[in-house]
Amino acid sequence: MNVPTKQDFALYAGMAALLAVPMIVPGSYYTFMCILVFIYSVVAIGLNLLAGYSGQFSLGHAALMAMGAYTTAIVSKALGAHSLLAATGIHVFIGMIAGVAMAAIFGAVLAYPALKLKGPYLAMVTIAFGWVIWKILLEWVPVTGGELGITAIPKLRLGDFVLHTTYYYYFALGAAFVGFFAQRNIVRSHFGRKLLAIKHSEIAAASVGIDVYKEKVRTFIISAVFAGVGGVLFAHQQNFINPDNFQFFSSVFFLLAVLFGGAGTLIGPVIGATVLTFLPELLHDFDRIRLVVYGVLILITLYFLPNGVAGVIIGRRLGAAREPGGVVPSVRNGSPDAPKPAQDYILADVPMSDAPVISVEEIGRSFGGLRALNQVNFSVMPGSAHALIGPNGAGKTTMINIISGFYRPDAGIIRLDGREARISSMHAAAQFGIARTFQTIKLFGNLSVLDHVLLGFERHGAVGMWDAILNTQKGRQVERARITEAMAIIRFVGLEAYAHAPANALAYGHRRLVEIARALAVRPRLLLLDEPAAGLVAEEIEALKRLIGALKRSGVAVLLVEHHMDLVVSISDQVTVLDYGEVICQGDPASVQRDPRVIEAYLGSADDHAYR
Amino acid sequence: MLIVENLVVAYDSLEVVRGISFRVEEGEIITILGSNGAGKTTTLRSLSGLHRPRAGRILFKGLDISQLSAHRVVEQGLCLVPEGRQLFPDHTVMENLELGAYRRLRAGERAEVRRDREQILDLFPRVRERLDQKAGLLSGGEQQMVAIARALISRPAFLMLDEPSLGLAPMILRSIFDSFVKMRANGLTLLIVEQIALLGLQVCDRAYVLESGRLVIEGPRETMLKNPQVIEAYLGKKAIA
Repeated sequence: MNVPTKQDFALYAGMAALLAVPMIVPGSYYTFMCILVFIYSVVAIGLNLLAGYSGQFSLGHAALMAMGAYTTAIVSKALGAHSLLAATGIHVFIGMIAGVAMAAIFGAVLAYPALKLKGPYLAMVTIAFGWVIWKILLEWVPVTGGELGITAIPKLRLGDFVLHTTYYYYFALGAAFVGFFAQRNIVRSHFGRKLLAIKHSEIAAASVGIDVYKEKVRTFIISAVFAGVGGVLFAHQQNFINPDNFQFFSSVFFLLAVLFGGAGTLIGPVIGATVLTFLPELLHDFDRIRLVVYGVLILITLYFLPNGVAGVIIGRRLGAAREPGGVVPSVRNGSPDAPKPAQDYILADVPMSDAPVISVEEIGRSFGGLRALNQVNFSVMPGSAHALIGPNGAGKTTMINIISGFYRPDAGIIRLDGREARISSMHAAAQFGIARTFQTIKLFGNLSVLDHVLLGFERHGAVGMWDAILNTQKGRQVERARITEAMAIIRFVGLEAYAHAPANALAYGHRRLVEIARALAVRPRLLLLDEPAAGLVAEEIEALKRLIGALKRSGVAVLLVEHHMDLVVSISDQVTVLDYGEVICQGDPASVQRDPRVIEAYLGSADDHAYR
Repeated sequence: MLIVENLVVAYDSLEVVRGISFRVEEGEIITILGSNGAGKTTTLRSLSGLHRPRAGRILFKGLDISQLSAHRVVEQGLCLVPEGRQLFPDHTVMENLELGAYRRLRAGERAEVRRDREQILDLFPRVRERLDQKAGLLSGGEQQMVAIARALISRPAFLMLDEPSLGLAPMILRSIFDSFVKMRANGLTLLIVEQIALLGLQVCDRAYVLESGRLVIEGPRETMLKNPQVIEAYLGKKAIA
């Protein structure tokens, strides 16, 4: 990771070229345009983190930028009246900090309620926010100057040294660099991994203990800070601002820059901002046809460049570099490759005791008029496996969903270690040491198997957000330690050949193992497996048996829903049979198998044995 | 009815299916066995037009369908029940079934569709109980039943099933696999990919084993059930005891 790649060299070469621009380009006009590119890039990078990486769309970023611009304009002008402050130039810096803070505050105010909503609603809320802010800027004349805006905004200065265009160029370039590298650090860190995970599956992200709502709010605020930085830079470059600078169309401009440049790529927002800033220079009468140009660009992007310009560049290079079998380990020759779990893996932090890890008491749950669960009782001891079986639709998965915090029960209580526990959300369940897999596999798209497991460490000792953004020594150390631990888990489930393969490229049964590995990274005390053997061949089921056996020995309690009776009988200590949401039988596997009610409702008569 | 010749299917540069040839006669039930990653699902996807093969021919009733898009393949009478259900979650179970019969209803086969529906619901009493519920609220196994029922009601000439046993309780498994045999009597041809090898082998006429993208073993049911390699890798020792 620390070895410079070709990509890094290209980056450094580009940086050097940018440093030379003011010396090469005659006149100040193009320098001025470049400053605008840097400013817009900063805002677009912030929006890229939000839209490209975490999948939340905002059409109100121009308004957040306005918060930064107006705040610094007002504050720095007011402070400029004091001669001491004005002489040092510190008034502008105070204004800028205030501006960024104001953007962050408004980002938070907007994010907390808006992010409870999903999909297009967030976009709607941010559009509304943009209009409201624009209208306020127009109407609140005593403060904002109304239509005419604020003029004579002080220049950035250090004492007597005023940063005119050329020097301001370097200042804005510096800001763009900082923004770019912050983005890179975020994206390559645990925090960025979380954003991608949330984008792919919020439910699965929550199941490993990620507080999805909190992370989304954090991302929005970070994104607002980028917009605020863009806003303050803009104010001190332009020297006068008015509401027209921050219309709805400016928000569209930024979203278009991200999409056109390449959402979810590092360089994409920079490319987008550059092209869209210089585009009007190439077209006469741009203002008249601006909407047409934006519209056409959106269409071109959606039809021909689904991953933007950057997607084309990166895609082509990846395509060339990809050796046969380079990305996904090629299908191996010879006999079927059943995963062979290592036996030596011991999960840390599992206290042994002879009290049940979990007991559910009189649990009930209805959906509409349908009674899915009624007065269900059972408990699971540490180091044991408890199977939940029953006909399809009996309520087995509903039970798993209740224990993992996805549903709340209507009746009854859940005790963890003998104490009543309110499992209010999926990430809260992970906090209790409850991890799960899903019947319909929920993976984080094309993230690697290793990334999936690393995400499971969220609850204990993953890299913190600030260590990630600043790419600190400590952050890198923690990450390395986690990678070592994650590889041990991957070996344990038998997927080491696929550690760096994108998870969604694996075969069905292997994807199930990825889910188990991810759940193990939570270091669960209680592991919930929803049909782990579905889609596995006989040999793979044998491997799964060994894996569950090893987990039991290390003290983990396993609750599994399963139809493969062979697996159920050989690994479970206790079996609970559900039918129409009620417990019809409970006991050790052998006695349950003989129970006439179970045979009638679930197993079928003796001559069906061949089918199990 | 179906002749596959030297089929090669790849994702980017990775060849998943590496030149397989096999044939399915009308009225046969063929089972394909293989471990995860062997290329079974990929094979079915290319047969149904969801993934274009890199090389080889797929002749269905004499017509090369290897370059047709998915909906054109369905028009030819090939239907796939994919692994992972894929119902319309906001529609009721009844509506999902009707969507399966869309072509037939449009062709005015209302009475026949109703009769078939009753037959199919006899097969899945659980589905009958849930006809008015939204499909998305059903349990996983129930959704699997609806997916199979929806495919059956469209009366394909050739039905491909990717892991029909997924998530189904032991008792229902028997009736479903029995129904495959009954449907064969009605002139349906089936290609089944199944991980519960014993189940897949017992209902089939012939079977193939796919390993690492190549067909390595093939034969009629009785031979396959006795083949030591098949027993070792797919049936498991317990199944024989």
